Parts: sequence; structure tokens; C-alpha cells
Amino acid sequence: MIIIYHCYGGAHSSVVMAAIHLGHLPMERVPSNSEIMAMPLYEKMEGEEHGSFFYCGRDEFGNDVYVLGRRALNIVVEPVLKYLAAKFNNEIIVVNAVTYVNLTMKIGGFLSRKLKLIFLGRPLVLWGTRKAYNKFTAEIKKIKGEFQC
Amino acid sequence: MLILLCRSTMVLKEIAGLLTKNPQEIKKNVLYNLGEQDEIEILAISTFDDKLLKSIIDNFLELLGTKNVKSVDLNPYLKTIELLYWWLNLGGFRKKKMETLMKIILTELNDLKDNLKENITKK
Repeated sequence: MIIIYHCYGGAHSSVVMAAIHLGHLPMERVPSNSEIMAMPLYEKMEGEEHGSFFYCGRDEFGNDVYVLGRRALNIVVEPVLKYLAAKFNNEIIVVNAVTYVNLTMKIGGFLSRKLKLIFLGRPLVLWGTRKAYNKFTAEIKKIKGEFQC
Repeated sequence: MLILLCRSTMVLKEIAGLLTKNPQEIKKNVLYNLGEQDEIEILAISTFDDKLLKSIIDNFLELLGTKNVKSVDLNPYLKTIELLYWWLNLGGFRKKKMETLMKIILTELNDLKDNLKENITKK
């Protein structure tokens, strides 16, 4: 099965969710800023890379996990990917990571990625990530729970 | 499979009317199944950022390892101002533009058919 975590820029929420899913970030506690920053894709994706699927690894159930930056195509991406996957006999889970993002992450991400004000945006987005972390883990527990049944 | 991308549902619906009698709306105002032409399924997607969506679809199809699927972005052939002309149908604009668009679609369909034939003969 393919699991795709997608968000606006593919640089923050989707990367964190994919990392939690794969066990690169802890499930039971909120990681430190340095642990989050150590993720290879965190705060890295540039505008020209939007639309590309970044392979993050394979989970314990044999699912391939990907991250996608899809800008504002949130309404379109899910039905299209699901339809195409079903058409070609592939199982897929598409998760919109933005659902769990808070305002701080949004502002921080915009400042850091769009305006390139990294000194201002990065601390904000990290703070926001840590604040929203429990929401990310709760969703991943739910997703993984489906495989354990 | 041929995937048509266009920012205007108005135009897509018109294309659907020419290609098939019974287009199916899979997701309201987003995804339509226009049926089959010579055993090639035609999908139509309406979205504003087609360039990005085209690259998402192409990358995803590559990820799935599927061949014989083509996505066609119709927006370069249909400027924003032309949507107004289309709506008003100034000087029979709609018919003329439709001919251009259908030519593009049929060329892509023929390409796909040729590819399919090639693949079958290779097997």
C-alpha cells in the first residue's frame, strides 16, 4: 500500500507526519527542536519541487510512505489520486496533513518558505509543530490502528 | 487512459457532450469520467493550477508504474480572456475553439492508440 502525506509546501506538517509514521520521530513524547530539524526533508522543499512525491521509507506493515507538496490543490489531489490508484489496482491512503496544522505553523511556514524570512519563520514553525504534535500522533495512531486490526 | 486538464468546467462539459453521451461526475466540479473512445478511457479534471496538477498526476503514474496513460493540459490553448469569449460566444468563438481543442484531444487519443498497438505487437 502507498501512504501519501500531503500539505501546502511539503516542508513541515507532511514531513513530520511521515517521520512519526516511520518511527523517525517519537510517538509518545513531543520531540525537541533539534530532533525535528534533523529530519532530512523538514524545511527543505522548494517551490519548484512541488508536485513531486518524496519517498520517506517503508513502515513495519510494508507500506511505502511518501510526502507531497501540492500547494492549494487540496480539494483536487485526493479524489484524483484515489481514483487513479483504484483504477490501476493499487491501495492508497491520502492524508491531508494541513488538517492538523495550527495558525502558528501556517504563519511560520509562510514566513520561512515563501518570504525566505527563515530567522523569523523557523522558530515559529518549530513552536507550532511541537504544539500540534499530539494531533499528528493521534491521527497516525488511527491510521496504523487500521493495519493492526 | 487520457486525462484532460482544464480550468473551466464550462469548457469540459462542452467537450464531454461531444465525446460521450453520458459523462459521469465522480467528484462534483472536479473529476469527470467521459467514458471510452476506442477502448481508451477519458477522464477530465477541472482545476485552476493545471501545470502543478499535471506534474502531480505524471509523477503519480510513474510511481504506480503505469504506461499508456497520458495527461493533457488544455489551458495553454485557452487563455483566461478566452473563457469570457467562450461564455459570450462572440463571433461563433465557441465552435472555432472547440474545433481546435477537439483536434488536440483526437491527436492525443490517436497517439495513445498507436502506443497501445505497439505494446500489443511487442508482447
